[in-house]
Formats: sequence, C-alpha cells, structure tokens
Amino acid sequence: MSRVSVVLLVSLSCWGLTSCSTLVDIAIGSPKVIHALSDQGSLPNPLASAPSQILLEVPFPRDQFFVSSAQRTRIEKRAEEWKASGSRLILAGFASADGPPDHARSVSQRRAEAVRTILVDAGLDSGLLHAAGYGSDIPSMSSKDVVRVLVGQ
Amino acid sequence: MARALEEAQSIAIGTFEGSTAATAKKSLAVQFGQHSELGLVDQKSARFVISGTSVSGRITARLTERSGAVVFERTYGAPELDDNVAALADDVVMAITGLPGAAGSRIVFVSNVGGTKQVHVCKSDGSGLMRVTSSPNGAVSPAISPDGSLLAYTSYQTGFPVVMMVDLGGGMERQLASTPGANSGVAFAPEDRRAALTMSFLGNPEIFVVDLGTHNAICITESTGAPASPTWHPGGELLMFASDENGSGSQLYVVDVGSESAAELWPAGYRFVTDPEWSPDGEQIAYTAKLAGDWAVVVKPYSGGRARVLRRGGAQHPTWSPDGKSIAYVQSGQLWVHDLETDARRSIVRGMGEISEPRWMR
Repeated sequence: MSRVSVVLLVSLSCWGLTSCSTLVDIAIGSPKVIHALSDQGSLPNPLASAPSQILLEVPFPRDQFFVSSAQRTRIEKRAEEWKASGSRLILAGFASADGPPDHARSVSQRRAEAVRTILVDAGLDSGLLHAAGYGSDIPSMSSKDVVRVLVGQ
Repeated sequence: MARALEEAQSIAIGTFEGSTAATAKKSLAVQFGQHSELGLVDQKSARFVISGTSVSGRITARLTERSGAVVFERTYGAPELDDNVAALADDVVMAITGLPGAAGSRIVFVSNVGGTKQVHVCKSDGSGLMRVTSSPNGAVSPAISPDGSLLAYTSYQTGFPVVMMVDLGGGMERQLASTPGANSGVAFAPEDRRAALTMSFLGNPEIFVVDLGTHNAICITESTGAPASPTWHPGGELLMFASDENGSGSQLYVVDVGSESAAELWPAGYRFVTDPEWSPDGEQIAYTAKLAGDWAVVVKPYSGGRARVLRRGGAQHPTWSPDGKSIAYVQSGQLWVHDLETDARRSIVRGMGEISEPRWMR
C-alpha cells in the first residue's frame, strides 16, 4: 500500500441538521481521474425502496470485492438500457453477517464501487451513479454478499 | 518488592458522617476490594486514609497520607450515590497508583434488541444500561472521545451512512461526515481534537484524519482495498487500521499521520485480522483474528513477540479498559470483560439480542 501522494482537503458537513456542500477543494498533484461520488442529498432513501426498484442483484463470494467475468457480462448487458434511460442509480452494497461489522462495511462499499466502475467504463455518467456500503447493518434489506442496483429517482 | 508495593498502596476507609455515610463506606470498600493494586487495610497500618461526609447521596471526601498531608479533597454531587462512589474510587486509584480507574468508565456498544441496530451505553460492570440512539434504520460503529464529552456513531437515518456526533453533556447533535458513500469507524485521537474515520466519497473507501475544529480532512491511505477500523497510538502520531487490499484477507497497517510516508504492514501473524485497538500504554495491540475458521480475540506486543490468544470460539472486537488490565469483547452475542492477569472473565451484558462493536471509554 502506498501513501497518498496528494493531500485532499475537504470541508465536511457543517453544524446543524441541514446538509451543505461537502466538497470544497480537491488539490490533485498528479493527473489522475477521480470519479468522486456526487451529492446524495436529493436521492430517495434506498433503505425504503420497494422490490420493484431493484433492477439487478450482483452476488459476490464471501469477503471478495472483485466482480467475476460472468457477473461483469450480466452488468454490461443491462448497462445499455440504463444508459439510454439516463436515470440516476443507487448501488447498495451488502455483506453477510458472519464477519466483523466495520470490515463488512468497507468490503460492501468496495463491492458497490466495483459495480459502479463497470458502469462508468460502459459509458454511464459517473455523476448519476451513487455507491453506498451497508455491510451487515440492515438485515431487513439484505444479509447476503450482494450489490443491489436500485432506481435512484 | 511485592510487599513494599502493597504497603505503599495500602488504604483504609476512615470516618464518614451523614445520612448516606454507611452505604457510601460499604460501596467504597467493594470498589477498593476489586482493585488488585490497592490493599484495603485497617487505619493503623494504612498509608492512605479516605474520610469525609455523605449526605443524601452527595459525597465530600478527603484523601490523606499517614503524615497528615492532604492528597485531595473533593465534592461529588451527582444525583446517585453509586455514581459519586465510582467517581471517588477512580480519583483515589488515580491518585495512589497513577493509573486511571475503571469504576466510573463507560462502554458503548451496538445491540439489535429492538429490531434495528442501536447504540447503547453501560458502566464497566454492566450496570446503568441505556439506549443512546433511536435512529430509523439503525445506528452503528460508536466511539466516545477520551474526555468523555462526545459520542460519535454512524446513523442510517437518511438511508445513507452518515457520521453523527453527540455532545453528551448538552445533548446537542451534529453531523461530522455526511459525504457521499459510506462513513464509519470513528476513532478519536488521544488529545480529542482529531478523529480518524473511513469515508468513501472519492469513489473508494479511504481512512481520513479530520480536524474536529476546522473540519478539514486529510486522506492518509491510498488503498486498492477495503480499509476500516482505525485506532490511535496514545502518542497521537501513529494510526493503525485494517485493510483487505486484494481480497485475500484483511491485515493490519501502521501509518505515521504527520509524515508523507506510506502505511506499512504490521505483522499480526494470522491470515485474516481486523478490529485492532492499541492498548492505553501503547505497548500492545488487541485484534480479531480468524483461527481455524472461527473468530478469536488476540493480543500481541506492538514491537513484536508472541501473540496471545485471549479467547477463541467466535470472540470479536476487543477494547481495552482505561487501566489496560482488562479487555472487553463480544462472544455469542454477549458483552464480556476479561481480566488479562488472571484470565477470569464474566459476561456483563446479555439478553440484549446480538451485541457488537464495544468501545471502552478512555
């Protein structure tokens, strides 16, 4: 693991209950494309989504966050249709409850990001793709090792 | 040597007056009796004597040396006598041994007893149990600042993971991090001014150090994997965290926060390790490891040497007591406190559904 060569200055959310602009300044020393996540403030609550809003469920092996070629093909097949619709998508990562909770959160975020990267590579607008990892914290939604692609609007 | 130490730290409970004095004396004797470094003896042979008044639960106490010199004199005015006794016992332990006591310290943890995961707090003996959050969809990953004034946790209230901070004195709540993606795993720095946490707004999870005054954040990792669970060295310069860099198993890494150098692997000695926590003296690391397919709590000197398997059979998420003599962890959904010297352990909270992520307040 190498130390970050750039320092990222980020002003975090302000005091109080209203959310404000979170990203003020990103100083990048070397040319590197960062598909930073866009603001999630106006998105619907993905934890309240109906089953009909689940467009795709991508399974992962336990503890893994790489997408298999079979799953990649599945995602890419659907990507064309999503690209045409131009709608926002939420990629919600989950993990089975066996593992340590904080590890599960980070792994499920990675999974969501992995699916997001495939969609960006397939030509979808990164600003319309939101990724979030829930680990094993919301068993009422999923206690499996999956990423759900949800309608974001 | 042992005898000399015992004599040096011998204490007697002297005269207490007032309506609740008898109960206060009895509770103090229980507290001192639980502390292996203090010898509770009669007043003639004691080096220290504690005496004072206790009226309607309040305590005014004076710790004196045999010479007559006053070590401290303080008033404890909490509504409950038990809380005043615990605070006094901790002050006495600190004054005599130089070590922070555990009697008044708190443990925060997550329980799913009400259906969703919520943050709870209890005293170090399991008493005084309270639910702290009632967040729709749940609240997880709690931590208390070293001075005990702030509670941080991850809330799913909006449907996205957001780090909240609660002022435990005034009850005021604010968002620390509502950046897009996952935000969790807050670890307060020893001096209370910074916190480390995992944030994902860049497009992948990274560990950041946030200045709690200015809210500026510095990314201290460049991970290709899944970094999580930062923990501070008591010096406030080194940070350890867990990360699975390529899907082959989580390992522990150390990084010097103030320098530009890369994080280095810290050899924990197992194929899958996570949830590290630095001991209060900075000498040891406690962590969760996978041993023969099952979770276990392990302690290992930071400078290297033998790893000690403290508990097998699914034990997870160790956290050190403020005096470094015990470790709390979860096993079979219960919260346990394990004495490192005697290996004796007891379940302090059970029947609360599944308990996870305990953090012992420093």
